Amino acid sequence: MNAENETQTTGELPATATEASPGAMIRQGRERMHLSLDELAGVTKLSYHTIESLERDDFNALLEPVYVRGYYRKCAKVLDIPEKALLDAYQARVAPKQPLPPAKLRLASGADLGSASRLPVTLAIAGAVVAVLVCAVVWFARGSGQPAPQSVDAGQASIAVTGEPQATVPATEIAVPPATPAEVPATAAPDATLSAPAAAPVEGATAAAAATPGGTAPAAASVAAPAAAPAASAGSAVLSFTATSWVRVDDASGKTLFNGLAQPNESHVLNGALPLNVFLGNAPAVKVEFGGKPFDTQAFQRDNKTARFTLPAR
Amino acid sequence: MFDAVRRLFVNDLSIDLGTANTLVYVRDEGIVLNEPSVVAIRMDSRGAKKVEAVGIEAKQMLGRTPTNITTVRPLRDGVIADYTVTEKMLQHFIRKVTKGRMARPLTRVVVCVPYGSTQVERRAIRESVENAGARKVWVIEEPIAAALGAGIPIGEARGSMVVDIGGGTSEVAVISLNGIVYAESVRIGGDKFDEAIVSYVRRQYNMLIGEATAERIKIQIGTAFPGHEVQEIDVVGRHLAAGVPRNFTMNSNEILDALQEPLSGIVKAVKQALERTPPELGSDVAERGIVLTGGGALLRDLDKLISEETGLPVIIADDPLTCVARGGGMVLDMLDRQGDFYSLD
Repeated sequence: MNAENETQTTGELPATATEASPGAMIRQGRERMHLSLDELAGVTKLSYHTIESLERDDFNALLEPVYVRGYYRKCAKVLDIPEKALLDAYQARVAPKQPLPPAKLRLASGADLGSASRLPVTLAIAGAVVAVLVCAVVWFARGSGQPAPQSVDAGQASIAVTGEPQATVPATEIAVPPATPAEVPATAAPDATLSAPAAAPVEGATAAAAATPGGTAPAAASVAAPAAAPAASAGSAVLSFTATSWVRVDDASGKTLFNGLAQPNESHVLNGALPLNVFLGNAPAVKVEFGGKPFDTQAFQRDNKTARFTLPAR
Repeated sequence: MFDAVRRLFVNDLSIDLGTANTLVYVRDEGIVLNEPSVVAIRMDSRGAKKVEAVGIEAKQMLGRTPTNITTVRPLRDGVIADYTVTEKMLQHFIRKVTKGRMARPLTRVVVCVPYGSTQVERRAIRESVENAGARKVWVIEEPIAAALGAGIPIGEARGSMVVDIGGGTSEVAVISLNGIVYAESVRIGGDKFDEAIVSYVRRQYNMLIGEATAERIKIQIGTAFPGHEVQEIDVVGRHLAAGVPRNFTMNSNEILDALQEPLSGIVKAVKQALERTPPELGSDVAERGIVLTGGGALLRDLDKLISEETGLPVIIADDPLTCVARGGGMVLDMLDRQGDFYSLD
């Protein structure tokens, strides 16, 4: 059929041979009702050329699908053709084309431009991506590096017990006097010391925590130094026992730093928020050092050998 | 790819906040909600109000409620009549469509407003949507959204005329180059059709019927142009003199008679728009035709009426009820593709 041959134009799909074309359906309907093209145009209010194009299936000469489908509906109503059959025949020949939104549009409101609206979303996504990256880096570092240290709050008070070298304590919690060059191998790079305390465990309580001024090489945190006398920083207390004694030490925040029975020859380094409230059950058997200096407990001792005092003394 | 990731966090909605129905379009999903803009409110013994039902459920209660429950239509003539209730209704709808997407904390909404609405009315709609949970709100005029949703290429330098007949307003607009060349908004729509039927029945039959019944009559046998086939419907109303329910039968010609006044208002607006359209664009409209959208376009033979009155081809868009919401959805796509928008206010 001539009309069908003309349908093979850009954007059209090949029609099946058995299906009648929409143009043919309209022409048949028009002829059945004995209407001329002019008469059909008059009834539908469509132009003569539009009706002609519809009958010829000349989709290129027709307008956008929204209009063409409307024209078919009008014709179907006037010519008493099933609307669905006509529209299906049209759809079978024309590739469905999604109407493109315009490039620019005037909105009724929206003081903010479209681009501005992206900001909060962009920030949220950027935050999520950064969080994922940080987690990945941490996971990688923990997986490939040295074993992770015990996780203890940075503010938590710690106790270093001499004579028990196996006790592993995070280096951040140990206050150690600056190491001298003779005590510490000088091979460790300064950078290693800065990052090591947080990541590496320290055996014993003698690892250096910071580089000393004056060119002293800092110690790597992982270096196991020989056990030495307990060391304390300026604000810490050291309790050495010559006999068994009950001890309870609370810091200013109410946290109990030590509560229990200490055995002879033990020594405890206590760090906490000052002042420390100390109770000794057997005061004569305890040697107290505070701020690196001996602290005399005799003034606080009672008849039953107990002593209650605060460090520093009030 | 960035857009794909971003979409995981964002709910993009287009809301056609209509007088009769509220439609919500969700991007990548289509129309997911189409419910009547009706809210049922329960008042307890202490006078406190609580939302009893929203949407379809509330509409079923319309005219059938006890004294402590009132059904409210929070929008009238396309704009907000009851701000608080509108907010509650929107909250309900937004929650309903975003249910199960708690991982998407951001909600962006394109909401459509009548062309003839004032700045105050637009602001009320905007704030209402914001308070209902939207992080970002864009307001777009209904004729533009309707044209986009109908598939009209509004970016061309050719005139297109859209007539969007909603529940509260009818918008007539001539659009070219992405902008409105001329538009007229009349406060006539489906509600006025219902009111006209109610008053016709009262006048002719001395019977009282409710809005829901009037709407049912309109949908079933309503027509805008005298046709070959006359349809009939049985109606039950309350006789005004006797005060008891009575049956009576109405036909489509009576409804046509009842709807004359609101229909002539719409036709007048269309004619006025054609008169005021520049001649070049007028010829484009004459060649292509007028496109009808909105629920009002479903009134039988309305296209024929306008076509006969204007002498121009009039076509009904595909799925006219959802054109505005779908058009708003296309705007959402544009927001992502390019943030190059001009603002009007």
